[in-house]
Amino acid sequence: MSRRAQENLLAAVLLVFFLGYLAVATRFGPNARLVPIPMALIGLVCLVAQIVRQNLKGGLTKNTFGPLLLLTGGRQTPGTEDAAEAAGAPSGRDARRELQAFGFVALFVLLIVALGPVPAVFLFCAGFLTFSKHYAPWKAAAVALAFAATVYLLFVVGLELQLYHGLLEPWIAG
Amino acid sequence: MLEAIGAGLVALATPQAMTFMLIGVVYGLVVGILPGLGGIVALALLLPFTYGHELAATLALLLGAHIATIWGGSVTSILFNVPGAAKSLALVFDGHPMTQQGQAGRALGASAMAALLGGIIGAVFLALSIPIVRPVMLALGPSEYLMLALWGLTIIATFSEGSLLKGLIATALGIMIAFVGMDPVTGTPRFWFGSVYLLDGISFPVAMIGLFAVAEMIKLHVKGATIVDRVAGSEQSSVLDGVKDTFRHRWLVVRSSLLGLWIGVLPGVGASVGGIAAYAHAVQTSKTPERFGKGAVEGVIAPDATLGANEGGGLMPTLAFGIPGGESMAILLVAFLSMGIVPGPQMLTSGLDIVFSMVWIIVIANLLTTLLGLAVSSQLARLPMMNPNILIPLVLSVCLFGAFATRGLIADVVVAASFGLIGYVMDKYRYSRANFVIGMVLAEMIERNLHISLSLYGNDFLFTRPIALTMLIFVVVTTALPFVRSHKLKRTLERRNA
Repeated sequence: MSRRAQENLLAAVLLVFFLGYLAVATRFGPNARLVPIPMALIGLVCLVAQIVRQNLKGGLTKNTFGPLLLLTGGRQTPGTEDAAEAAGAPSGRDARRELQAFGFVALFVLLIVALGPVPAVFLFCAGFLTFSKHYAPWKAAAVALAFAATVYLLFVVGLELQLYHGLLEPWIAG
Repeated sequence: MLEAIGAGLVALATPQAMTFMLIGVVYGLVVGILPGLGGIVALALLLPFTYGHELAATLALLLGAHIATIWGGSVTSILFNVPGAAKSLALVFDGHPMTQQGQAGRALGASAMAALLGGIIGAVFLALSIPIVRPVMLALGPSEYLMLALWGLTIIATFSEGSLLKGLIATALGIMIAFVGMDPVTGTPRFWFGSVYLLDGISFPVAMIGLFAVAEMIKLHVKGATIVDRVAGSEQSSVLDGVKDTFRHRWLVVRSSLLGLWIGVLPGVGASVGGIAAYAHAVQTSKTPERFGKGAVEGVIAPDATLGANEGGGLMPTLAFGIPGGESMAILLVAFLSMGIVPGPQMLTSGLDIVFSMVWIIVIANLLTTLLGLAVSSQLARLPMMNPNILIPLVLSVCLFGAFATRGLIADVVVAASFGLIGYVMDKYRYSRANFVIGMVLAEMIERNLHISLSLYGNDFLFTRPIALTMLIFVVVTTALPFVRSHKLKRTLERRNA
């Protein structure tokens, strides 16, 4: 998918969000919607202008960072969308790694919800260090155990945090 | 006021406050030296630790970390040619050439001393400006505060890096998310979809942890390599040479610090612009401008003095008006609010000792950063080469555990992770995360002051409050100005190219 198509997809998602937000906000009383509706409308107008700009005016994001623009004599600095557009769509490697990253964040959250934060930290760290082949499994487990113990001391002992024991606690305890 | 100056210092003279400041500075140096993480991530990760301690100690932790991260960012610019944050960009122009010439020690010495002097000038300014700003603030009413908040929003959005439109969209999104939960004015539940969790609103610290810290870990995994893989050249200079250079160019330090102060006071202009502007100033005022870009020590001194002074300047609008001077100040503002520090006129009256505690913290933290930073700079310089396979699980664990710790709610973990994904997407497509945060922070101020203005002065309050009307015109002009300038610049460049 080209960079422009990705930008359009994101803009479409935002458009749905803004319209949905406005639809919900209209149900509030006059005082409660006094600020949300104008703010959402301003955002919506900017979004529509952005969609028009990125599709009709031939340019994605310009770097408007004044001093840099002056220093570069108006040339775009690396990292702007124009440069990205010129470089083409992101590589398959990037997309794969993005999915991996989203996956391990989601997995970590699931572990926390299921088992509670401390066991989740141990399992996630040990798993990550093992599967990334950074350490041998026994060393990964030792590092993860030391880190989970540090986190426990810091948050539970130091900050006196009431721990959550996870959805699976009744089964594990039983 | 003298009493408040003394009380501010006494509040810091506790073992907890001193320990917290030391922890903050060490932590700030470590995180600041990791390019891409920097000050915002450092502060976001500290937010769960802001509860249940002495106020001065918590402030020392936060401000100490914040100040240390700024110099940490300069270190990576000088040693690796990788700006630790956008604000440290100007340091790469001459700092890294100095490293390549074997003068890394001299560059680090000059950088640290300039940041220290700039920081002290900033702190003194913050202290001196209080008697001047106080009567102005007390004269302002809710309508004027409303206009100030609107100005803060628009100026931040329009000065932000990337597209102006995307900056404004991100700001609007931040404001809209802030309206989730119970409306504090009318008591109406908004955007809660029957969820008791949403009725309490989205926790600012949790959102910050996700938007910045979790998103940066996702970015690091996608990059799939160490943050930095360069090694500095062999050393032929000492830190002391750099310290002497700073005193030799003392007037440049003073001028750059004043520039940093001015830029810090203007909400949204930010230290990124300050560093570049200071560099440009050093080039313009030098008798030998041809040396710049090839390792001129003034090219290190000027931006660092500006960055150091910027903090004192940035704290002024944050504390006095509740308008954050930049993205780091927005996170500090979130922390202040969670500690019960409400920015506004009372900060400069009943809360004056807290303000002076901050002034003292800036001075002491700058001193500590300089001493510690210079002592351990060679060891710190190895940190960016740390393998991401170690960094990611450890930082992510602290992020999600920290999110849980803010309110003890497991749903906050899910929200932090979701904001992590949102932050990653925003960063990838250049919708400014900083604007989003600032929108979130200022939303409540806008809504509250609008409602108070309407009930106090009626629907046409703008016409009965001439200062507010003038400020509104100013808001409109300053919002339109960057668009006009951008259009003019584009036309000039087109003409030049034609």
